[in-house]
Amino acid sequence: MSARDDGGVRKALVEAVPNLRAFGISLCGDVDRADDLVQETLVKAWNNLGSFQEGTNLKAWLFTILRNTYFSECRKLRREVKDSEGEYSARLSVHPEQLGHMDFADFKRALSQLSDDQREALVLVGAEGFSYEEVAEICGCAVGTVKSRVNRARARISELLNVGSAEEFGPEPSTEAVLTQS
Amino acid sequence: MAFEPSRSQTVTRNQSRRGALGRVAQLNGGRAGGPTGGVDMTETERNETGAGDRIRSADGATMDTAHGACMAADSGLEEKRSPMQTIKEMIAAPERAAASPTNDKDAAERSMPGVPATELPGHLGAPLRAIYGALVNEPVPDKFFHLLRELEAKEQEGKS
Repeated sequence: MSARDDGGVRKALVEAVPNLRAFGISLCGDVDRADDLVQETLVKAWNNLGSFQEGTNLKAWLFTILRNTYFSECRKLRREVKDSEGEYSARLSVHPEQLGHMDFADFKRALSQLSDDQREALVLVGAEGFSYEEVAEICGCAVGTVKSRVNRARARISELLNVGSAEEFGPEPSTEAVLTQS
Repeated sequence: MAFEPSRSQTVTRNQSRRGALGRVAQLNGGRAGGPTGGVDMTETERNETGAGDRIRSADGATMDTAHGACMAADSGLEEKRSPMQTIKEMIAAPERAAASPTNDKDAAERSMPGVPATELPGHLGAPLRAIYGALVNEPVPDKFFHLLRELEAKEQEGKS
């Protein structure tokens, strides 16, 4: 889609919002803050469309803006970005009825214990489906660095979950009973 | 990391009750799942056909999008299978991952520009995509659409 087509630009930005929100939430752990990030991203993108290279990946460009906005804010606020088991996890709002599966909660907890760069790489590659090259552009690092972060994230999560096979990652009997009824 | 974030927006009751796992169960039962409407195509099929997902704002208005697939659909859910069977298949056995041409280590080495990177092993990739997919499928607050309309209006005013 041509970025110079105004109607197309607006549509492209609208299409990107859900994924931008999800990525923002994965970065900062808070819906309100993520929404602020997305709004800032949309404004910056709109005001800087002239710098966007037509024919390149608009979604990746938007992700880059959001990511840079987030880390700039963190530097300004001098926040501790990496969460060991404190602030980030404390912002988790887990509604019991939404969990449905204790292992998913464990997975989320394990994700929160990754470093920001590892979690970011894992989400962009494993969830958003960007290529390593695209993620390298978004994160401003080498492709090898992205691969290394993904590999370390994968190893770390496996270690935290102590998961070596699918059989070890299964539902609690009570959850299974609920699911089979739904 | 808040794949179950703190939130102040109102979400629909059904959304708040189901969460990521419930989304999987909905899709498996063939019922519409959130804004994606129970998509049962793989991401490749969707891209090839140009079919799009729909995003839904909090007021129920829908907009067509072409954003990424509902993650659970990638795991090859079929109708009339028990939710637990589906979930177990999502968290695929290592042998499936090893047999798959997209073995994570090998595929990482084969990653090509513009080609999506290899999938993670099933027991990691599937829950990650399910959780992330639930976030993507959340209703989008109207404020983003209002913002874009405002930006567009200001630009039009500037031009006139």
